[in-house]
Amino acid sequence: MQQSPAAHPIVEIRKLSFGYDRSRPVLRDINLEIPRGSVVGIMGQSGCGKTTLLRVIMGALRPSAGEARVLGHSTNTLDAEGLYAMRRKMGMLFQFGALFTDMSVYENVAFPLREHAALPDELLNDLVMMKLHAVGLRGAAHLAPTELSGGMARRVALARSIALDPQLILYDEPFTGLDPISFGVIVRLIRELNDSLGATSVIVTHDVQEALGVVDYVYFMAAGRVIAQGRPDEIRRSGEPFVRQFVNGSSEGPVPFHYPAPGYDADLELAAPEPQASPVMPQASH
Amino acid sequence: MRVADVRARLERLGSGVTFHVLRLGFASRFLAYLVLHSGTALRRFRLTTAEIYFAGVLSLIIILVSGMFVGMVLALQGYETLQRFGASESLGVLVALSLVRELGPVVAGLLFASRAGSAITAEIGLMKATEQLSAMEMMAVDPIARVVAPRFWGGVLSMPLLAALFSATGIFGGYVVGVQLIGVDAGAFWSQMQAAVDVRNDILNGVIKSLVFGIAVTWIAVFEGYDAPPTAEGVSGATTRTVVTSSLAILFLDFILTALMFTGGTHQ
Amino acid sequence: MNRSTIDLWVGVFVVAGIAGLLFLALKVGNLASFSTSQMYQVQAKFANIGGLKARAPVKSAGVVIGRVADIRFDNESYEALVARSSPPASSASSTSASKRAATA
Repeated sequence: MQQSPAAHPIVEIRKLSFGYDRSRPVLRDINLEIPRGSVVGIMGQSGCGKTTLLRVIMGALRPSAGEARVLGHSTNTLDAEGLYAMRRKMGMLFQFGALFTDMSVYENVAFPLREHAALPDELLNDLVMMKLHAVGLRGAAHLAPTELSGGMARRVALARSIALDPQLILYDEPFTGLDPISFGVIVRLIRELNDSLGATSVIVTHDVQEALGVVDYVYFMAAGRVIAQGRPDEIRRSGEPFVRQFVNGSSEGPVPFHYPAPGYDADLELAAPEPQASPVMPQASH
Repeated sequence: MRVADVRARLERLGSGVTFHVLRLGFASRFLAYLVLHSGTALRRFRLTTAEIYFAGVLSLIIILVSGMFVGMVLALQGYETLQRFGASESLGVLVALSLVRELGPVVAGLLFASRAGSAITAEIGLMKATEQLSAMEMMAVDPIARVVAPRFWGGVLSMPLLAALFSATGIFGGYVVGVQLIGVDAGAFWSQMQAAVDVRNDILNGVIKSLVFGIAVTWIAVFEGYDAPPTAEGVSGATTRTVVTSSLAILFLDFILTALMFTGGTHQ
Repeated sequence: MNRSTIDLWVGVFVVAGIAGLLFLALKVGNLASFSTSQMYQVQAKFANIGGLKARAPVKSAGVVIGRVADIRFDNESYEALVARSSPPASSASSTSASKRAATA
């Protein structure tokens, strides 16, 4: 599947901005390239816009300015049908798996195949079993999603998202809420599936330490911008204070502990108390 | 101070009205999209069959039991009143017309809204909250065509059958109480009923009513589910709204339809 | 739940529902008494129709032989015009059916 690796990056984002409304831009002037065959991490704090960026890549949101080229298509101009055609070549792993709760594990993995390819039953069965085998859950085919542990559910969801042999696999917070063993399994699967399918993977996560072990390249985001990028070893050695704070997970650094607020004094009504201030309010604390 | 108060109230009222009108517009667009994208639900009819099972078959018990009791109560109450006028043979007419024209479609519709409608809303709402609908969209499968449309058609097809079964068991219940227990003449019971109940004016109109109620309830149910905020409170609120809104819709539509169908006083 | 079990139950449900509709149409309603043979119309004029209503049965010797199709006011004779449809077999008696029979 791997065609002329260096020729065209599989995802190419140029000067992209996005906002739900004009006053609050979520993404600002993003430039980003994801070459074929690589595993790329997009990391940052919760709320920095990385999930929004993922939704722009999958075509669920349209950029307000700039362009996102995914698999050779500009998502700005695609209509619903073009978008669906593009998504058929993509797989997406949702944060908590998003398995269809009214179907068995087997039917979950068979779902994209049934919807998009009219296969004879034996072939369908073989394909489903192959995908389940790849994530090590062939034996769980008959179980219901509610009978699975969190890690198993995510593996089933992974099998489902690779059912159509995608060229691009997107992971939304794949490590959240996993025990160390499940975590190790997912990390191994991301790498193995990427290389065996000849696919490209994008991992959106805030679990920096864990993700740095899997990815080939990292983009760091803060407040809707890409603030740093590089290979994992470069990132670990980075002098950038924000990246250092994030990689080390310390509470002191450029990211403030306090959410932006008016002066502490004002909130305690010390500066200019309103006439109708409650009488039980402490009048002075100094 | 007072002017500002009135103004604030008016503004709240205005924004409330605007909100509901906007929502109705969105719901109409949703219905149009849903009907236009029903190809999958009708071509792969098994998807719809499964939903007829959940909306129709699983509502059967409550529909049959309620129908039976409503018919029995109608017979008891009707006999009390009719015998004062020496018209107790008309008991069959009273039971049948009440059920076929009004109680069958309306009560079956109300039961359907609380049994099947709420379940449809909760299911779609939870699928949305757990990102199952987004996942489907990411697999290039339209969730409205694949998830919503089969539920809509399943509900729409189930409702007239449920209403007919409600009326039929109700009339049977009326027969049991009126004829077997009270002792109204069986021949009079059935023959007066047959003479008075018209297939087109009463029964067909009743079926049309139940079809309209089925469309209204299922439309509200799938829309509330699809539009539910993707949280636990969002889904529970949407479920409550489904039952309340569709019950009101049934009673309102019943008045409109009755006014259209049975005016002119040409019935006995 | 097995697919074929669901199909079976849905089949039972649909058959029961249609049976319910048939019961309503045949046993409760008057579809069975609809004559499939050709009906013809008889018109009669009354000075006063009393409580006569459309769809009231028209009886001859106690047997239903037709129904009142329409009641109108005749602008020329200032009388009520009652149109009744009756099956042809009973044409002889239906013409003599009285208003009293019709309202019975």
